[in-house]
Amino acid sequence: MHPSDNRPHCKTRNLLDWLRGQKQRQRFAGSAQSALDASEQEHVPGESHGALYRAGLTLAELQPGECGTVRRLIGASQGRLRLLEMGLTPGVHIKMVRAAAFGGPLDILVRGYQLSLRRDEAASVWLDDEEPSK
Amino acid sequence: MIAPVATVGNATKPLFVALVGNPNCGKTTLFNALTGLRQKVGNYPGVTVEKKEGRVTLPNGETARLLDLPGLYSLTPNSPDETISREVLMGLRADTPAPDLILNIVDASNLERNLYLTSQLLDLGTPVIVALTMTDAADKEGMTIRAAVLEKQLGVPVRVVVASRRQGLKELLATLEKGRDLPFPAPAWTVPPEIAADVEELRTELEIEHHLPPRLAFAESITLLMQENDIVSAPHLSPTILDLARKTRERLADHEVDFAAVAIEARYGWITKVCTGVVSQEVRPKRSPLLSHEKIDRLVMHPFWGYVLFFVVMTAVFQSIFTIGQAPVDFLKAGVDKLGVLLTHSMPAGDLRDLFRSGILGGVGNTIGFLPQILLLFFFISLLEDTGYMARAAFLMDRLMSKVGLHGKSFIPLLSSFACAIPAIMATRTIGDRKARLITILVAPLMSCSARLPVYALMIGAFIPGRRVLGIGGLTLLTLPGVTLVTMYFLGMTAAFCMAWLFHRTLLKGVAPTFLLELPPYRLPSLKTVIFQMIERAGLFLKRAATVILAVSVVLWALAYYPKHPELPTRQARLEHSFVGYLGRGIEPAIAPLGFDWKMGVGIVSSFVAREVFVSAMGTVYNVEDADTDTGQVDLRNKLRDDIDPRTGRHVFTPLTAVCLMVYYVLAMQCMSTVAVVRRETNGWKWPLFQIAYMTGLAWGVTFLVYHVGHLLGFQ
Repeated sequence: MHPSDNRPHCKTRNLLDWLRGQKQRQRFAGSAQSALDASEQEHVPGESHGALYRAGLTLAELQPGECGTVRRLIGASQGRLRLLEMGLTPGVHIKMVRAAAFGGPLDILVRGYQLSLRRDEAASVWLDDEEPSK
Repeated sequence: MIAPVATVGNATKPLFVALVGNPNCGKTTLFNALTGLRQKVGNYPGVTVEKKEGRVTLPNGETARLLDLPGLYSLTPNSPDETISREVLMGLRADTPAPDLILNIVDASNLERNLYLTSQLLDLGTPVIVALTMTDAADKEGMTIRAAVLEKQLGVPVRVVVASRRQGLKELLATLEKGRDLPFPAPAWTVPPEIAADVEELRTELEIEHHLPPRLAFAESITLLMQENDIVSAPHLSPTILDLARKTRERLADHEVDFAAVAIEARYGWITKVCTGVVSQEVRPKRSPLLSHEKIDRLVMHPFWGYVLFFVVMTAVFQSIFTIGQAPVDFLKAGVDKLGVLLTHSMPAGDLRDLFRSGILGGVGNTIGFLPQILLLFFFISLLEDTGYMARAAFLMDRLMSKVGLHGKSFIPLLSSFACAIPAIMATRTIGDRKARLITILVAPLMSCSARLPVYALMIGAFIPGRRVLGIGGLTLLTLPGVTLVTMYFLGMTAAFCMAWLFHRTLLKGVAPTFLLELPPYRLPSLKTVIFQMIERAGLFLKRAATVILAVSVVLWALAYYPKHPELPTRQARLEHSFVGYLGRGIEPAIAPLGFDWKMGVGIVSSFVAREVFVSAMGTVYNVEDADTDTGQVDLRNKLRDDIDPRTGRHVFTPLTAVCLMVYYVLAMQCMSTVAVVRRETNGWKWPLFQIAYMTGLAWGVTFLVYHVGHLLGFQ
């Protein structure tokens, strides 16, 4: 098995959680919309491998327990360089573990380790809108 | 190909090995296991990145020098730590020779990210040996790491070590011994075709222009092209090169080639390939530590309970410093007292006896008495760091930090400021953002450092009754002294946050910088590493006691002893007419509104050198005062309690005065070394002078408030 594959950690989420996620996303949509390319409109999330994959959104919009695949990083050079070097390269699979209270930093699982980053940095990480293939 | 390093290394010179690895990879544990106590800590000249060097005897009897570089994720120079490490490894620093060999410590349980640095090290063309650590942790996570396959894939020797149990050290040393004869490793990754031509062009230019060996030129050209603007200060590079680099970057940007992404992806592509053969993971390990870590995290990082726990941990640490530390402190104090009595009886009366007893024993003896509590503080700090809790605390605190314009990373310097502001200010070098770094430097000395502990301990020990505040049945959990101590620490923290917010809003406006922090898995800390750190810090404290504090004590004793006025009736009057008396009287008007008398003034003035000098200064002053009593007792606490002002007939020190003095010491900038470090770090006198002014002003104002409000509330 591929070592960076963290998919087994992802949990199935029930419908209620998913609905809650939808609500959250609507709140986020306002701020994220400006940065959104026309081609990167939100897609309907799909269910696969027992985990919910969200597509066409940024890392900041993932709910705890959700997974995604990095497509590309936008934003300022230095912060972006650091994120890339820490392993957030296109194609890598990530899982949102938790978010700190009061809009604090996020805790994600990438390449088998836990990394903490702020929400506005996470908002520069765009996720794939296609389900990752095995 | 000529390597720049192999020509330097000959049989007469000791083998020079650089230890490089990610933070939390077990580098310090391995360094300690290899070198034992044969290490020394210093600084790179001109900068304040810590330079740690040790010696190790190889199996053939030869001695090798080991250089412990700071923990790094990458060689791309984003912070001073990385810049220095990169310069050392490339042989660009005049003060440190290029290493003959790189010992790369790789965490097996986190192989992918660790190998990123390895791929950069393999670029340099210096022989590399890999020490694979944490294989036990990887094993528990159900991962099998095939070291032999890794060795084949990397093309360099790979040795498995468990430093805490001294496993694999012999094999590692045997490999180090052969280090000089190792072939130069091949670059690990392949430069993708879309950027290969540009890298090659710059590399050739670097070879011609700077006579760099091909491999170093290659590494340098990659680094230069990675940045979108010239973040690397490259004074050693000619304008032609920098110009070419800039033009190439612009051309790449025009063609929409993202150089950094392409290069980093290529490295990680290579890593993924390496890992497929090396790592195999059980799909469902029976008892995954990842799961148990996650269970701890759920509590520790909980949006509510996490903060409760944080508060409890901090309180417990400071309460236990007081409870556990008290017995050895009392023991040491009794020893100092006995020595005083012994001196009084064994030496003839006179100036010399007085110098020894009042000056040296009263000053230095009273300060050294606080060593146990300082050791405990460092014990807890390294414990919290090594278990992985510190990173979680930074995660919890980041929101607050960003609100006041600080970096999540500012949290680590601020926390280590509890030990000492000097390493804390040095640690701000990991913060890339200039403004966030400056704010951190400005507020770091407000956190209560270990040098304040003697002042707190003296005041609390003498004036705060040991009443129980919280307890269950016979078990006392919190005492009034403990609460007072915690309050002082929290006062310092609050002041630091308020001032940071103020600076963020006024002087140093700017956006909150980025924050990236690894949350390392929970680990049992190595007792050896913790103890080593304690010994290191204790050594520094004793060194200060033997130099600065001794000198100040002797000078102060002389000032308090001369000019002699034998005609005056009381000791008090004689002290008042000494040099110290004049000095204290001179500043009394400035501190009288705070409820301080001239003797405390002497303490405050002389402790500008270092805060703990206050204790020794009081020790000296109070011992000179009753030099003619023959009891020989030097314990300061009783003396302070018994001191009565002859004019008013009241106690000079009251619990309120004690609290005011502590508050003053929480906030005032009373440390020459900190001033010196701030000057060096900010390159000028502007910021350190500003810092002295604002902190002294703040201290005066708050103490004034506490004294008068306390008085109004009826406290004595």
